[in-house]
Amino acid sequence: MNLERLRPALVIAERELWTVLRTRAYLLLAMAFFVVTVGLATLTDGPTRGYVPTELDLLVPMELLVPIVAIALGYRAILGDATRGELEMLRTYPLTADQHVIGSFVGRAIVLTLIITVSLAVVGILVAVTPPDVVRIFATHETADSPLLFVRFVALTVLLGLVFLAIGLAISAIARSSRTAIAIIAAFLVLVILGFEVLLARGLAGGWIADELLTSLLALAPNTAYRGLVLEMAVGIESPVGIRAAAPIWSILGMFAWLAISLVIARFAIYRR
Amino acid sequence: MSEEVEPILTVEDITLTFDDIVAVDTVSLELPREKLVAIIGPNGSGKTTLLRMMAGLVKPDRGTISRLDDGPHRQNGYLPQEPRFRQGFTTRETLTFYTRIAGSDPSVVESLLEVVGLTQASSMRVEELSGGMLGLLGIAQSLVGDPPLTILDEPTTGLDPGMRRHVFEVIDGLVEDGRGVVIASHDLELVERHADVVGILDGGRLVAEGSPEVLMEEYEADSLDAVFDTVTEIEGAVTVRRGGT
Repeated sequence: MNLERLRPALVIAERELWTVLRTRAYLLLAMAFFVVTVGLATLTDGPTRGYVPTELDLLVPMELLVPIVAIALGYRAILGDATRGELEMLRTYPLTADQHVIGSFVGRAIVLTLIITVSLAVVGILVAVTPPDVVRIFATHETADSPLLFVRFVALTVLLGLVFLAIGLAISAIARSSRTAIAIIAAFLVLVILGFEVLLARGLAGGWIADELLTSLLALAPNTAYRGLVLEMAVGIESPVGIRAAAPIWSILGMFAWLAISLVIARFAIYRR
Repeated sequence: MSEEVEPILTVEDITLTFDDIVAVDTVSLELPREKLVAIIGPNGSGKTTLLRMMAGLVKPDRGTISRLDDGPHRQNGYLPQEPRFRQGFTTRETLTFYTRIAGSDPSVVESLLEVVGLTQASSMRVEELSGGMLGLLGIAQSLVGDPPLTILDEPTTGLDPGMRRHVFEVIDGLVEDGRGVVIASHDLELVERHADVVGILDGGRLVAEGSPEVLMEEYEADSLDAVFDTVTEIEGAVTVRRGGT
């Protein structure tokens, strides 16, 4: 590998990292995420019931919060440089669009990964140190609840965050102003994310989506793919009639496709201003 | 016999159109070393577009831009109008970042700060800098990587007279160091005093070109300001007649 080609991307990544760490709004966002995540887990008594119940308690909040935090971290990364005139300055340097996008993504991804893993690690520690509330446990078996499942939950949540960070970065490269960026984000969340959920629900209810197709279709949107993956891989739903929550390979491929396509869009849009 | 020095950048018949509006119309220009070339013209005459094309940020629809050296290093420095920098970083950190992107030795940061007179402000955060200081930081940034050509788009806009003079003195120093410098400016008095070559752009066309002295002689004017008025008035009239109104 040519390390010299990596150098400019690493310099960009380092700058992104320091930008996030020095920006009060981002620190507040990280603290809010931490407080809400740990607070929700505690309020729902998840730690007394084990890892899997805690995951189930946090699944929907993570599906909502992680995309918000990730997009908030990403949508100004390139747009901010463009509005200040720094993007034009940077274009006169020996810095390619690939290096610029990868550097921006990696720098902010490190912070996002830290925000998610630290918050969920604290929840995991709480589960580990909190004595189980035997009175409230209706039924359990030893192998169904384990820290390994929680680690998978954390990994999948980080992946969800990285996908939405890449989407935020693509929006940042496309938008000409903060107002446009916010409009694109809103349209994306409503039309693509919420719209897809509604489409699936109507399709199933109307019978024009076959039940056996559902697990594969869930892979098409990042949040449905995440939900299916968590239920399948981190919760471990077992059905006696063979119903599955997701097609894991397709869901993982779907999430990586969203990540890769978003970065490719950012790469082609960044210098087309 | 005078020795012909090859220009750093040669612009030949470039044209750029945005949605049927001709922003730059068949402009040809040579940018030599050790010279300050100033592009002047009314607002909307195409100065920024021309500079952006010279900097390689926009490709012309027609015509060619050729460089003397087309290596992988930084070909030209560029300073956009009213530059701002990412907040939370000091002047020194900002320049160090650009130096590292260029692959240059970060030790040059101190000398760049000295060149533009920002050594005292090196520990200030960029959000604490005045407009003039930001412009100087922008000029220092345009020198990172030691490009042979520096392109500055209205580097004195919004500055007080003392700071404007200082910016032009800094530019003089760059030219003395052997660089080619091209600026867009509305500061006609300072341009007259400092520029080696002046190009007057009007309606996207380069309507006059020469040293300030030659232009003043040609248009029988006592200042570049008077030349500018005469040229843009004539060209404006021509444009109106062409438009049929």
